[in-house]
Amino acid sequence: MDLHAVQLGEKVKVKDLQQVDALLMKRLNAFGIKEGCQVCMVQKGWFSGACIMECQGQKIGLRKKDLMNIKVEQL
Amino acid sequence: MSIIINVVIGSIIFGYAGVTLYKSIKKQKKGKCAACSLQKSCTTNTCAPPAKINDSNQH
Amino acid sequence: MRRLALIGNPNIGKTSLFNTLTNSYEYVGNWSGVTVEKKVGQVKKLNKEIIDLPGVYTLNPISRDESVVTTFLLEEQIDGLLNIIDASNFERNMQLTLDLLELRKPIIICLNMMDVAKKKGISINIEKLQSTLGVPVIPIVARTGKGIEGIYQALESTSQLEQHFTLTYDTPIETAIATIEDLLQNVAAEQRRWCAIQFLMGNQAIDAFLQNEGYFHKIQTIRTALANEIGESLSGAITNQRDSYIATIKNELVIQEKSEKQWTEHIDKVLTHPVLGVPIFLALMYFMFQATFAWIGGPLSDLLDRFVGGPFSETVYNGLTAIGASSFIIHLICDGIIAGVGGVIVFIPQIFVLFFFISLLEDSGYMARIAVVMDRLMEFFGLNGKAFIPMIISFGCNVPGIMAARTIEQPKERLLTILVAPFMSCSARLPVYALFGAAFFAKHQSLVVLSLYLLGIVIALIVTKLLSMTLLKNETSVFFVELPSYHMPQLKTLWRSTWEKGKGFLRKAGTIIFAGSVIIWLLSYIGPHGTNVAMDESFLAMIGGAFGVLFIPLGFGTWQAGASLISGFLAKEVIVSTMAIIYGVNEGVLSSTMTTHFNALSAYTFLVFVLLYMPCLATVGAIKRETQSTKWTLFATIYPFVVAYLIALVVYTIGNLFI
Repeated sequence: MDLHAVQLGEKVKVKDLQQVDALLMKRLNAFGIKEGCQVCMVQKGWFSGACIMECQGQKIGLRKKDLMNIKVEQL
Repeated sequence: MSIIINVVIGSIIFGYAGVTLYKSIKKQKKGKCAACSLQKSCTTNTCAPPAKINDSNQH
Repeated sequence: MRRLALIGNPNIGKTSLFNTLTNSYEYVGNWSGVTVEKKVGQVKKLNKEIIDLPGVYTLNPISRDESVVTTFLLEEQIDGLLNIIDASNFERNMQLTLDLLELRKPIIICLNMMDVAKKKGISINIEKLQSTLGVPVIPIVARTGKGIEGIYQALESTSQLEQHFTLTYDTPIETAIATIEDLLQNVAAEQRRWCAIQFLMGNQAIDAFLQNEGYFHKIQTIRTALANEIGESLSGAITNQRDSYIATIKNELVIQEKSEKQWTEHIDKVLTHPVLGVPIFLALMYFMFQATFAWIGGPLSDLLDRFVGGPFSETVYNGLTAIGASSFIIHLICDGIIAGVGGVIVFIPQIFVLFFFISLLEDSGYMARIAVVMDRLMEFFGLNGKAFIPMIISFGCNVPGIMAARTIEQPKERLLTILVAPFMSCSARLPVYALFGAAFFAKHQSLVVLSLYLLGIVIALIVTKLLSMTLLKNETSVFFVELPSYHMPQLKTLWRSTWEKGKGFLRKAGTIIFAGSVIIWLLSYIGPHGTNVAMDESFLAMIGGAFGVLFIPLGFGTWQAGASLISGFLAKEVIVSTMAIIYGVNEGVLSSTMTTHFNALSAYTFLVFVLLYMPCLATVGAIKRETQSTKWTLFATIYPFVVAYLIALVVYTIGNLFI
């Protein structure tokens, strides 16, 4: 399952970041988003707009197309 | 007496206006550090200007 | 230790701490990337120098402002580091701290945001952290200045502090580190290990630094061999081992209790709502202009105007007559300087109110939310949601707006942002709107001004779209923005940042607006047939007339409009000064005099033209500095004129159909 398909408020575990753009991957890693960490979808944009994720109490905004590349699994 | 006053006031005003105008145009031309708003608090001179961005496609 | 560098993640209060330590008033805000350039300040009390660096997540640079930090650590001589850590985000912040500890410079860790951490139910065992890492750890709250004495004490007592922090990695990695260390003869002995580790992690700044060394090829081979041996990316392997180390520390030292749900969560839900987000933003903007023009700024401005135009002018006039000044001097001062500078000065209340709201936006944490809400729209036009931050900063002044574009990762998106930022209506254009608004649109002033601001945004977006389809075709773009937690804005910080912005305006009034007024007045006083000529026969009328012809199709083809537009290049406020001088009257009457030269439609067209037509002198300088390209600077100076002309023509033509 990709991260974009996750329901609002649902907590999931990141499984695979391999398909993520290299530049973004660096950013995500630096921010503490890695394989095995827990994230939660806080807000979804309409018309494929940017979404807000929460990870360890910090929030970030990401685009739909990048979220689709982040594979997650349910807890 | 009044001639002196007139000359003094006049030259102060025009002098000041000229100097300011000259300074601000020079500042704009000089670019980089001289025009930097942080100039007064910055004591180093390697302000590491960002490299050319129109032709840099690295990453 | 004499020179210390202040390093930490973005938006965790480095500049707040810098300001407190050095007693200065650098620019602070609540979004990632306020500081894009390093700044140096003095701690007078201790005779030390502190360098404030842009925030970074790691020492491995991605965007332009981040490379400043790694390059700085490599090339500059510093004696110690102040690493500031957000206590409420311990794990993430420790990544950078490990990077820095390996540098083996004396280091003091400042554990900031203890108050926020407490609210989130986090407590950290400070003594134990101190003994584990072997460096001083000081809890502080940088925004209020709590705990600063601790830093002073640590700075004084650890003057010859050494630290030998070593995190041992797996054997193959350690072997490679040792081999590389031996080769790095040109690097200071203490820093070799750090340099080797960063090199293995693929830090481009280190690669660039070592590139010309004879052994570069050799160490590159080591790196490739090691990567093959362990079968995963080296930076991944090293980071993983660091992660487990950090996790161990965290388990021992950090206690996380269940946090109470914060009230800001609910507000955030609404502000970042996918549908309501944009209308809310627009409503807030409208509120801002309503306060600026109708509620606070306008009335105060009227009072000031009455004072400058009345008692003040009279006193000066009487004084000058009393000391026997000639009529030339009296005209120069009263009709030139007082009219010109005074005409702009009366708008101080409006400008300060606007600056106050912009500071509020910056300090609250709302800025990053706007970036998220706007990203979809911006993406359509070929930009990044983050580009909205420089645009909003540009509402204050285009120069810092253009500087703020540095946080944008993609070079082309950054250039696009720089090119369109001058379309954002800066505070210098405000006096022009206020002047015309009062004369022609008294009832709907806020609405007219809001429409201009929005027009600026719309034109900027359209131009971006055109440019990104033609001259600057874009590669894939990345959007990543951190949403900081909201803070209750502090009155002191707000006042300071309002004042810092406002000061620039006052300085301009005393320099370039003054100089502009003197020149404009002089040009209007002399003509081909001598001095003290009728205004219509002055040099100013000739120059303005030649330029003004261009604007006949736009409905304001007078020499007065032409002359003020030329002088507006110095600074946009000078447009108002020029008009005040030309129409030869003070502010209050100016509005009514103008109604004979403009009608509502041509006035609005004029405002549209002023909004778009040309970046001011200071902005051109900023563009030159940031793009480092004469070609793009010239382009950025000239193309807005064409855009402005076309848009104004459209507005005037369409308007004429209805009126």
